[in-house]
Amino acid sequence: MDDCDQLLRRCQEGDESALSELVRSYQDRIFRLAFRVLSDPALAEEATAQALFKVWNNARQWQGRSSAGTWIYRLAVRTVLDVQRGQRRWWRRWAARWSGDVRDRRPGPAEQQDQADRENQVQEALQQLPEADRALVHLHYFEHKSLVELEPIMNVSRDALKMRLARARQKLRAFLESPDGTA
Amino acid sequence: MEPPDDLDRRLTEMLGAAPAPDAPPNMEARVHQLIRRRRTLQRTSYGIAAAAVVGFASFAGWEYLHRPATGPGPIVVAPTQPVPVLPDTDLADLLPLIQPPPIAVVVPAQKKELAYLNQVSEGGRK
Repeated sequence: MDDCDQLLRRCQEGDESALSELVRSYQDRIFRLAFRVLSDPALAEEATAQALFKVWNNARQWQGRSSAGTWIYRLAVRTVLDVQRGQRRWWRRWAARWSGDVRDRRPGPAEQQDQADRENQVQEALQQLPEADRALVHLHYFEHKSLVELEPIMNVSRDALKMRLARARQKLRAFLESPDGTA
Repeated sequence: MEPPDDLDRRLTEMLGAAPAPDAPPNMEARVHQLIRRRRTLQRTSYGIAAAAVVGFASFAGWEYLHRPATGPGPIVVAPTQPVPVLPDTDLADLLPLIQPPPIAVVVPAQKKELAYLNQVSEGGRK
């Protein structure tokens, strides 16, 4: 049993200090995942808080069949996708005209601008993918999760994951290699 | 066609060059605030449910028990299910053991009504 498993066990017993440790350990990872999928820092913050709250609230549902880390990621992916779905409904009804502009327009020195441009390009490329595939790409390429680890997190078979990753790669490559980024 | 390994490497480089930001520093406080809010809400809904149970119980000729059981068997109405308690049980010892905590304790005016409230409480949950 690793540290994270023990912390989640303590959460099951109502120990809030264990939750604080879990929050510190997972907040950045969940926030990054949420940011990749949602492309909006405020929404990503909301989704992260919701996901971590659910870790506390649903802790008793964890029975130790998978590691606590896997369970937390699964909960986080589900929460982020739920927030995205809710936002999309709201987005469509009230503010469709604002969608798609997620660029970071921070001013600054040339290097900072280059970095911001790269981030924007990658973020825009990820926007070409369905939300669940954005989460998949993030977990695979940024968190370096293997397909074996991703199977229980995404709740999808390994073959299906392979196919989705291949499709996502094709789309990303086409977008990132096109001169105007509009492939 | 580019081999998948090469493409993977290049994508990892490109994506790695564009890390997503860290979480804002107030996340811990925010999560604990959500937990506190949830508890308040839970207490409020328990209060409303308790009032409804007690109201119904008194309508049906039962009384709200706020003293140790001395008469006919009481019923502890917990959020998930009603728990019948045998006569002469000391509720003061029993109540802390019932999880989740009970929303109300009602006691029949006559013992024969015990089963009736049990059924009504069950029906009410559905």
